[in-house]
Amino acid sequence: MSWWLALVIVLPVGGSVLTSFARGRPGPVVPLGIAAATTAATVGLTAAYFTGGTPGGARLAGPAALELTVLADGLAVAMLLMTSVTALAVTAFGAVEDRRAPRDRHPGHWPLWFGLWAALHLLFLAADLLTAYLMFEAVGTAAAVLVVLGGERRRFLAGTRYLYAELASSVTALLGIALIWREVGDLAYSAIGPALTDAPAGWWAIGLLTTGLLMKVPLVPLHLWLPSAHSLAPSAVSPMLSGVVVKTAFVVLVRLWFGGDGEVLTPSAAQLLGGLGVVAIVWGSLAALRADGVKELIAYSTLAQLGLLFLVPPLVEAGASNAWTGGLFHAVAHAPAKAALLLAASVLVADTGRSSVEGLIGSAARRPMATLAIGIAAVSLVGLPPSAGFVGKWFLLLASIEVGQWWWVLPNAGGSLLTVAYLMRLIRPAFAPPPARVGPPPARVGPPPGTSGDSTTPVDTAEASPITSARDLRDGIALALAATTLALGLSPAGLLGLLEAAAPLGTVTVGPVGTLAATASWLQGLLEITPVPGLLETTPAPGWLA
Amino acid sequence: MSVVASVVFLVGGVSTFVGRGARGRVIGLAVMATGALLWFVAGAPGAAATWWLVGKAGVTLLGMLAVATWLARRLRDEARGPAPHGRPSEDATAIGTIRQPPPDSLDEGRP
Repeated sequence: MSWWLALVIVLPVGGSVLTSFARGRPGPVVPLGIAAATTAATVGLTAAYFTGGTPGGARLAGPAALELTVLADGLAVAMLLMTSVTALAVTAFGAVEDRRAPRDRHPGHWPLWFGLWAALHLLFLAADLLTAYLMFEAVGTAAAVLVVLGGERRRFLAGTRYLYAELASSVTALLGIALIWREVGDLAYSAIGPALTDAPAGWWAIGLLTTGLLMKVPLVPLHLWLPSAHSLAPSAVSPMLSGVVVKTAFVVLVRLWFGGDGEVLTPSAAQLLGGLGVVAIVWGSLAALRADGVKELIAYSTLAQLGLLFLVPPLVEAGASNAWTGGLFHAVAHAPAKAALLLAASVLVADTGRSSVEGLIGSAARRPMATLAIGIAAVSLVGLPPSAGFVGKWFLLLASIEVGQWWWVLPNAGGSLLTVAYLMRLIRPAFAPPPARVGPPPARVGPPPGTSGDSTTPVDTAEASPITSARDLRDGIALALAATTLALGLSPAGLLGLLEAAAPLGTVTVGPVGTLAATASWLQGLLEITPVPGLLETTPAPGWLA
Repeated sequence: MSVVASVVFLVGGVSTFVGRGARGRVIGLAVMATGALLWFVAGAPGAAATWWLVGKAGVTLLGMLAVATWLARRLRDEARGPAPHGRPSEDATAIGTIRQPPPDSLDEGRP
């Protein structure tokens, strides 16, 4: 397993070095090859994990704090799969854009892109706080510079604010880490919890570290940098930011809160986090309902979807078995859905040169595959079966019922309704007939439609591009990524098993078969249905399905 | 030492969020970072492992601050106008030119 661990880190690092030697313009084949190899290594790591049955790890030898520890448990492997699948699709999208317009790609893009990928892998694999912190710095710097590369002033400002926010959150988190080091003398996730809860400055350390990481997520009201950074980022960058980068801080938080034996999170603090999550769901959804720009709407949607993740702390703290699985499943399922939505939206915006929602009028006829990708991604984001988004939300609903915290059912279900409302703003115009033009078309004032790169340039022209053929690979890439959410929803057992294996102590893991049986039992009790003998009995499946 | 570290951190934090201009924010962030690193030293002064942690964290922070400084300088230079004789500045060619859009209210770098 160590070989696979090494490959998932070395391959993207090598890709960064290789593409920098190619003066940043390696053509479409080299980035695609590196992305495919990295994804294959991630699949190999996953297979090795399932074959071995236990987490694998590696440690660069040395005394305490003088070592780099990585641990591939179920959670890390799940996050690596999420990262690799999403990054592979976005790399392919960028490679197709390079083939169409090679000079539009900034020379620094691919080296930074693979550096970001490597840092994400190391961050998810990190087994201690300092390694995670160092990778946060790398991820934040690479992501912020990717946002600003070769762009207009607004994008430059957005990326600069993003970097300031990353720095402020990192330094706040670093102060928390310093207090943990002072109180505990160790920064491994497994060692922090039990020792920190008894330490005099332990709560200050947890509070500072949590605050810093909440700024990185970001959770409303610490979110001010996200809408502009994500909406103005290039089309081959924003899917990764919205889909993967925003999950990094949440993963470190759940490891901090639930990684050891100690009760790091008090019940009141957990309920407060859940309340902030509800605020994020409502606020993000309302902002998405009012947004004018397509990518701006999707950025606010990200804030709302991240809010749902914070129903996990109060439910796991109360011992709910399904909250851990459901919340993290939602985190993984959200990435390909959001990335597919952004890729398809970028295609439609680049097609017309209009970044507003009105620019999507008639897109179903012009770009049927991209519109279908938006539809499938929307199904997953709303949480409808058989998409992957349904599985995560369903488990969170069950968890709320399981521990008697009924008040989390409303924001969970209500969030889905709000999601329908704002995503219909993208879908409904797609099927509307384009307005009849009176007089000659206005003179073009921006780049011609269909070019790659900066699809967020605020050009307002009513001239539509000719109907393009379905052979445009970008549409197909967005559609394929959206289809993975359906595939994951139809066969969630593998991912559920990965997440259940990493569930915190004190919660009972229940496989999907058992969950269905528990649901049926609850419904039976609710509706006073007379049970059919043998119908609700389940035979535990071997391995992690038991 | 811990009191000094806390004061330094708080002063940096206030100047970051209250200060005007990109340069003020970068300086504030640098002061915050200094305060956070001083807390490491305050916890276990003299320990080799502590200094190793400070070194690792400090180097990465320096890198981020360098990038933030560079971005702030680009914003300031762009706000002041093009270089003499109309030639683009070195920074502009290094990262790509910042295209000039219509004036807007997001003027971070203007005095």
